[in-house]
Amino acid sequence: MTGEMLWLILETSTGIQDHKVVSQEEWIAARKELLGKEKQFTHERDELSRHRRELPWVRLEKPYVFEGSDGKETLADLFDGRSQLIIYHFMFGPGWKEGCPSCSFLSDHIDDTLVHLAHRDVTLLVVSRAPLAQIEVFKKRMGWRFKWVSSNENDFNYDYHVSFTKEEMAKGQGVLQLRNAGIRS
Amino acid sequence: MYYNYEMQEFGVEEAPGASVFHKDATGNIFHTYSSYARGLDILVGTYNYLDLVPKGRDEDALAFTMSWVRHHDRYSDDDLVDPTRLYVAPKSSDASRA
Repeated sequence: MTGEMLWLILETSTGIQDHKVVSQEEWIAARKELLGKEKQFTHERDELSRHRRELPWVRLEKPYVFEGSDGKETLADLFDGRSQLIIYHFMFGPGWKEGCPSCSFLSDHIDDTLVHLAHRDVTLLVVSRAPLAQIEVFKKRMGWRFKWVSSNENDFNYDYHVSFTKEEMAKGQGVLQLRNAGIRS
Repeated sequence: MYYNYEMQEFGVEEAPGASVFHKDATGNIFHTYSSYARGLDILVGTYNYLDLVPKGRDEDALAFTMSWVRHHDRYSDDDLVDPTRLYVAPKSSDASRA
């Protein structure tokens, strides 16, 4: 590791070197100032969510059939009797020995929220392009309970721009930034 | 390739995202929303906790933001993140790709 890199880590990783320490009174004043910004952000976030709900919709014309532990299921079936469906597109391609670590990190947060979402008319499940057998081995290893179906035999992943054909990939510059896909805006 | 609503200059086989659909009483299905890349941040509860502590997410010096992340069965005390490199599976792993 170069000295420059070490400096970079110390400089950027902690933010706790030589940190300002003040009296309780000064701290309260600073905290209240931040609280104002936090409240502003909260309200802006509420407004952003409202704009999200106001987006127009597109009606699906194409039928999709997925492979799951209950057999073949259409997209309509996946709603599971509810009117709102969230699908997490998990990076797990055919032939991969394990799913993407970052997607796994995100998916570690899914199981315990399902019962709450169900009571707000929301079904949440996971879709990957890997064949079902491959999904089920990895899901068992990770101990997850959520529903995870395969889109291996349909165009779902391509249509929602989370899987890419060789031709599409060729328009990029190789796989150097592979892992950046999920985490940089 | 087209990702996150623009042409991107990286070539990958798979990328993450979330999509939302609504089904009406007559069975029509509508696509209402999709989000990609950092738009998925809010689905990671761990980040919300990290945003409360002095070190924050502590990712600025890493090769990419989630390079410290391991599968939850792959963390180990001697498995330190090399911030200059992309994800490398621990030696005990049979992983062939990140």
